[in-house]
Amino acid sequence: MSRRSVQRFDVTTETSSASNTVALVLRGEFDSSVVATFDAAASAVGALAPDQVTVDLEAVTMMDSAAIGALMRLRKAVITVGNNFVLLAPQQFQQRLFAVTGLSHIIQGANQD
Amino acid sequence: MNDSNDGLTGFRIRIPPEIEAIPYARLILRWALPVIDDTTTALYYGAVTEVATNAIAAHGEAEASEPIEFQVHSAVGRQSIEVRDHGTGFDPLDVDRSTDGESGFGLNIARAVCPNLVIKSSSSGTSVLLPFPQSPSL
Repeated sequence: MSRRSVQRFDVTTETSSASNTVALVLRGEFDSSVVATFDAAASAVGALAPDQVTVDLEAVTMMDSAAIGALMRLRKAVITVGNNFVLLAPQQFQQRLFAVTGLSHIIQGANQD
Repeated sequence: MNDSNDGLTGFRIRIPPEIEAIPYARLILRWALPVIDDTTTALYYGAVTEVATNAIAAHGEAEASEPIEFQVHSAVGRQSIEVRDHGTGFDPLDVDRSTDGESGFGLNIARAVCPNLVIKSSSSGTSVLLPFPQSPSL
C-alpha cells in the first residue's frame, strides 16, 4: 500500500450456489465512515440464506474498532442461525488488531471458541 | 505553516466533526508524514482514526460545532500527530477501569498499537498526541 494510492472502500459479494456459500470480499480502508456500506452488504447476505459466510479482508488496508464491531455483528448473526462464519484476515496488521482485542480466535485457522 | 509555540515546524488540519471527514484528513496526513511500511501505516493511522472518531463523538455529546483539529508536529527524526477536540473531556483512568467491553474500546486499541500516546483532557476538551513510529510495526 502506497500513501499515494489509497483505495476507496468496496464490498463485492460472491455467491456459490453449488456449496450455498457467500463471500464478502472487502477492499480499501474499512473504518467507521464506511461501516454502513458493509452493513448493507451484510444485511443482503441474510436474504440469501447461505450455509456459510466468508469475509475476506486480504485487500483491506486499514481497519478500526468500528470495522471490528461490524464484523462481530455479522459473525453473531450468522452463528445464531446455525451457519458457519469464516474470517480471512491474513495481513500482519489485521492479526495484530485482532490479537490486541482478544479476538484472534475468530480468524480462519485459529482455534475455535 | 510554522508552529512557533513549541519550536517545531508543522501544520494544522481542521475538519468538521463528521465521521465522513476522517478519511480526507488521513489522506493529507499520510502525504505529509514520512513513508513507513504497510503494517505500521495501517496500525498508526488506525490509531489516529480511533482518536479522531472519539473526538467526533465527544463533539456530538457536547453539541459542539467547532472543527476537530489535527496538529502535526515535525522536527528531524521526531514527528507526531495531535488530535484536539472541544468536547467535555473524560478521565482516561475510567477507560482503564471500564469492564463493559465496549467503553473505550477504540482508545484501548489505539493505546495497544501506539503505547506512547499522551492524553490531556479537561472540561473544555481533549488532546491526544500520537508519536510517529520510529521503527517498523510500532
